[in-house]
Amino acid sequence: MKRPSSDKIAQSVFRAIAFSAIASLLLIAVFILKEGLPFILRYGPLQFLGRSEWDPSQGFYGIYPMIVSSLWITLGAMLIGAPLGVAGAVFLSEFVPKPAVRIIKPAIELLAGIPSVVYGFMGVMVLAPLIRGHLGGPGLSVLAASIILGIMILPTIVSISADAIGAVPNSYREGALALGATRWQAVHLVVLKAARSGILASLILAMGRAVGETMAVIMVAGNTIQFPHGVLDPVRTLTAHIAIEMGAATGMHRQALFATGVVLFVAIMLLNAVATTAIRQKVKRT
Amino acid sequence: MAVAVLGAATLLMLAVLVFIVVFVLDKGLPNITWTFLTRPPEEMGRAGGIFPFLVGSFLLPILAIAIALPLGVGTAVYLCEYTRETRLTRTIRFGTDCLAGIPSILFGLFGLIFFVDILGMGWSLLAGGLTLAIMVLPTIIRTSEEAIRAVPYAYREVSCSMGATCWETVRRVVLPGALPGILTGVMLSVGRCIGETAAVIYTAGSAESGIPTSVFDSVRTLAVHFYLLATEGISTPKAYASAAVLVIAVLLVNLTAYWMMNAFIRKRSR
Amino acid sequence: MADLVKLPDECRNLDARVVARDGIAVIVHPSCAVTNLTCDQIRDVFNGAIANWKALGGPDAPITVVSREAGSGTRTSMEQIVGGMKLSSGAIIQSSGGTVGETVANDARAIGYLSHGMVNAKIRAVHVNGNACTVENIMTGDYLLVRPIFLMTRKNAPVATQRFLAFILSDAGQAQIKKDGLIPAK
Repeated sequence: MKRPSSDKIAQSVFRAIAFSAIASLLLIAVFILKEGLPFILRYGPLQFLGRSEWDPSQGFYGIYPMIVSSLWITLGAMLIGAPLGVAGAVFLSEFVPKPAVRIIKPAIELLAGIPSVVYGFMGVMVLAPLIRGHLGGPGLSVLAASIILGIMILPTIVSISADAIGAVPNSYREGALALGATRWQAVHLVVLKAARSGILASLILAMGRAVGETMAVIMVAGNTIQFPHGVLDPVRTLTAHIAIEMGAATGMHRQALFATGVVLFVAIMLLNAVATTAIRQKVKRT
Repeated sequence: MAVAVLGAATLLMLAVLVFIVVFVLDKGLPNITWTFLTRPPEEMGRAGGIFPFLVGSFLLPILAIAIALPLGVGTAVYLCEYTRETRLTRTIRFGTDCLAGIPSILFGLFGLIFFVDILGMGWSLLAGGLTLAIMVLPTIIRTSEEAIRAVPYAYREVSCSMGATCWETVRRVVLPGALPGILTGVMLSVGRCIGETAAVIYTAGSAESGIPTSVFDSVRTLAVHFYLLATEGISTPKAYASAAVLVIAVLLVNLTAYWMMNAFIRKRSR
Repeated sequence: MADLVKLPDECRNLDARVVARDGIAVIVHPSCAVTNLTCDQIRDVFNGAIANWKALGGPDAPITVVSREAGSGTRTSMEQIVGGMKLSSGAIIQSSGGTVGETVANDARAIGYLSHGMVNAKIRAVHVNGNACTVENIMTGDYLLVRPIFLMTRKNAPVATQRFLAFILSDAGQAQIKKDGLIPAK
C-alpha cells in the first residue's frame, strides 16, 4: 500500500515520539548504571551479592540479606495482590451490572492516589499491632510489608485486568455459551484466555510497583539487616536500604547504594524475563 | 460456587478500600475547615491551611501527564500501528516493563542530579513534572498499548477499505476506541503522581514557597506536606486533615474523569 | 543545620554556630512499668545485652528496640553521649522521629528515642539517671541526653545569611525558638 505524504509525516512524528520516550527511559538506566556499576566492578559482584555483612565503617558491603528479603516481600505481595486483584477484575467485569461498575472501578483506582506514607502509617498503627497480637513477633515484618504492598498494587491489577477482560468481544462469550458452557466456564475457559496479555501486563506493572515501593515498606518492614527465617521477622528490602542510608552516605558508601540500585534494576529485569517467557511457553503449548 | 469465591474476593477488596478511606477521613475530616482549605500554612503547618499545597498537588500531576500522555500514547501508537512485531519492539516493551520497577527514590535522585543540577532547573515544578512524567511513562505506554490492541482489527480494515490513511484511521477509529483503556492508565498515573513523595521531595522541593507563579518555582505538594507533618511530629491532626483532603480530591478527580469519558462515548455512539 | 554533639570532619571548612539545644527523650509505651533508666542500662538495652523487660523491673517480655537509621543526627548524638553503643542487629529501624514515636506508641514492649519536642500523649519519656526529660532539666544540664543544634554556613557567607544568623542568636530570635518549643542556646 503506498502511503500518502501526510501519512509518512505522521509515521516520522510517531517514530520520533517513540524514540524520545525510549531515550528518556534509557537515560535513567544509564544514570543508575553509571553511578553504581564502577563500584560493583571494583568491589567484586560476588562479594557484593553474596556477603551478609553491611558495615560501611569497616568496608563491608554485602547485600545478600536485602536481596532475599526483597524477594520474599515481592513474592508475598504478589501472592496477596494477584489473586485478589484478578478475581476482583473478573467479578467486576462479568458479574456486576454496569452502573455499579461505573462507581466501583474509580473507587478502587482511588487506592492508587493515597500517598504511600499514609499506607505506611496505617501499617504501623493498625496492621503491625494486629500481627503482633495474633501471630507474634514485633509486628513490623515481611508479612506486614507483603500485605500493605499487596493492597497498594490492587488498583493496577484490577483496573488493567478489568479493561482487558472487558475488551474481549462478546462473540467469544456467546460462542462459548452456545456450545453449552456455563457462565463460569465461558469466563475461565474462553474470556480469561483471550484477556491473557492484558492481565499479564497488569501483573508485570504491579510487580514492578511492588519491587520499587520505598516509603511504605520502610515504615512497616522493620528494616533490620537479617535473613528472614519466617514471615514474622523484620527485614530490610533493597529499596528501603537505599532510601534509609542515602541521606548520610558519602564516597564509597554512596556508590555502594547506587550499586544496590543497579542490582534492583537487574532483579526486575530477571523477574520480568521469567514472567514473560513462562507465559509465552504456556501459550505455545495450548 | 466459583462465582461466590470471586464475589468474596471482590468484597474483601472493597472492605479494605472502605477501611482505608474511613481511617483517613475519621482522623482528618474533623480538622478540615474552610480556612484550612483556603489559607496558607502558619507555624510550619501547625496552624493555618494548605492552600499552596493544594495548588502544588494540582499543578504537578497535570504537568507530568501533559508530558507523559503524548509521549506514551505516541509510543504505543507507533509500536502497534506503524511497525511489525519485531525483536526491537519486544525489547522496547521489555525495557518499559523493567523501568516500571525502578524505586521512586532512584527517580528522585535522577531528577535531582539531572534536572535540578545538570540542567539547572533548580527545585521546581518543571523538574518535578519531568521526573514524574518519566516515572509514569511505562504505565501509560503499557496501558495505551493494551487499549489500542483491544480495538478490533475489523475496525481498521473497514476504515482502510473506505480509503482512510493509517494516520486517519488511528485518529478517528483506533484512538477513540482505545480511549477508555488509555484513561485507565492516566487515572492510575495521576493517582501515582498525587501520592508520590520521595521523587517529588528531591525535585520539586519541600520548602513552603507559596503558590508557584512559574514552572521554575519550587512547590510542596499535599503528599509531601503530610509526610513532613507526620514524620517530623509537627502536627498529627493537620497531617491527617491533609491526607483526607487528598483522598477526597482524588476520588472527585477520578469520578469526574469517568463521567466525562462516558459522556464522550455516549455522544459518539449517537 | 546539624544536630550532632560532635561535628564530622567534612564540616571543617564550614562555620558552625550553636543556635539551640535539643533533648533526646528515651521513650516507652505509656503502659510500661519502667520509669527510670541509667545510662548503662540504656547502653545495654540498645546493644542487645539486656533483651528482656524482666531485667529492668518490668514484665517477662522481650524488648523491641526501635532506633533511627545510621547517619541520623539523633542517633549519632545518642551514641556519642551514652558511649559504647553498638546497635543490636535485631533492632527495628525507622527513618524518622515521627515513625519511631508511632511505632513505640503501638507496641507495649518497645523502646526508642527521639527529639524531646516530639513526645506526645501516646508515648512516655523515661527518666535518665533519675532526671526527667523536661526543659528545665535540659537547660540546667541535669538531663544528660542533650545535643546542640548547629546552623552551618560557608565561611564569608553573604550578608543576608549573616543577618539571619545574627537574628537567631539575638534575644528576639532565641525567644522565638523558645516559643516554638525548642530550647534556646543560652
